Amino acid sequence: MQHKPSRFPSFFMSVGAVLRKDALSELRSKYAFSTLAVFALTCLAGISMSIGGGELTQLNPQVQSVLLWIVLFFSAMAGLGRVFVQEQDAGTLLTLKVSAPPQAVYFGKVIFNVFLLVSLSVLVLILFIVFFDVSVSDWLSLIGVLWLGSIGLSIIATMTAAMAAQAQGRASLFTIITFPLILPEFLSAIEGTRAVLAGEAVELTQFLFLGGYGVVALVAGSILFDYLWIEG
Amino acid sequence: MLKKPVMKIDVENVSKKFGSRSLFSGISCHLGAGDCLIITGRNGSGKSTLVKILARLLRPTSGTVAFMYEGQECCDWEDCLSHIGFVSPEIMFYDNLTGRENLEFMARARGVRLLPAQFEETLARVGLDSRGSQFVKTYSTGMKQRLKFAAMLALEPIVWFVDEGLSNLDADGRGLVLDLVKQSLEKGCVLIMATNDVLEAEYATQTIALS
Repeated sequence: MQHKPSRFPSFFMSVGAVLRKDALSELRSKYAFSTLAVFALTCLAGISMSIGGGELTQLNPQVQSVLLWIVLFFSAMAGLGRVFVQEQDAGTLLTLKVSAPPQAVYFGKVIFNVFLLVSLSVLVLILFIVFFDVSVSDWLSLIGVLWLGSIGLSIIATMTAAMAAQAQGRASLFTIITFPLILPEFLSAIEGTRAVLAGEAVELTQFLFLGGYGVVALVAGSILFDYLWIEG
Repeated sequence: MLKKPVMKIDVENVSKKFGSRSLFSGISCHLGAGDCLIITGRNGSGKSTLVKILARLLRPTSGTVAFMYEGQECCDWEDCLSHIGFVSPEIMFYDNLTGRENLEFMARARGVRLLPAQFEETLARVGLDSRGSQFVKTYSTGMKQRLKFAAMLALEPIVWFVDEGLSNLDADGRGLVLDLVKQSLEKGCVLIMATNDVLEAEYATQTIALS
């Protein structure tokens, strides 16, 4: 059989194959996104209905910001860990191992989780504005903080999901090892969001920290992944 | 017939322990083009584990497995991966993808771009041409086994790792797999098969019997 020469370097083709496979599976099952979206909707609707419309608008930006990120954090915990656990449970982990190079699997899964959480963050932001009647003056900064924070969260969650999938009792382990790693990014995102909601300017260092932490996590995860991928 | 590039596999004194339980020890062999290693043994003797170790999917407790491609050692897993094909009961397909999409994923993930007609041809060779566009969840276990060999044909590996290759296959399927085994050996591929089936064992140039 004559293989058609690829137009793309094979690494990008491998990443694309992993991403396409996950996206197709998700589009057909809609499991991960619906889990994340229903969780976010339930939280925001629950808070909104229990506190009541008038009092919600009086919540200070600090509390609003914390609520927004708590919803995103727990949605992420509910859905992002599935990228590897699902492969383990379906028995397809070995198929993935013998099909794609480890780095292609890692980057494919990271990109998939980033798409998932960034899409969710857009939905959560819309629901947040509707339920909490928030007025935002600097949309660019808010979206910047939200997306950088979501991207960082997705990268860390992908790395810890890979670790947890190799272990027993992985569901609980995923949250336990993700929490301390995510905390600096999480606190920085909360502070950035608070500043925007309070009408203050978000400092450049805040953006740099959010982006930089994500990059460090991406590189660390990439180095670690090769060791995690082959069983001991 | 086109000959494959030469791959040599050197296995030195491999052992595997799970906790305090020793599964096997002192396994050594040297394989080259056209060699067929048959691993036999009772259930639980460690055949599948040894296949995974030889494929470098699992680390041995002690000993080494070295792949030499055209005289150069493949140092990391990524180097080895591009030359190996793996059929095992542990290989599962993605249920909500079609047979063709599964095949396409496996090829693209390896950086192999095939034309649509080549996927059809591959599926036809294993007798799945009419079922390629159906979801794998609708496949029988025998059809899934055929799809595993379709992946081997699409990827054209130099080293074949086949664990219980004839399982779940009907007479047609068994004949097909044995033909593929014969053809790959003629092309100079290296075959490592874990089996207790006498039909597969006929091709052995080396045998390891696990107790």
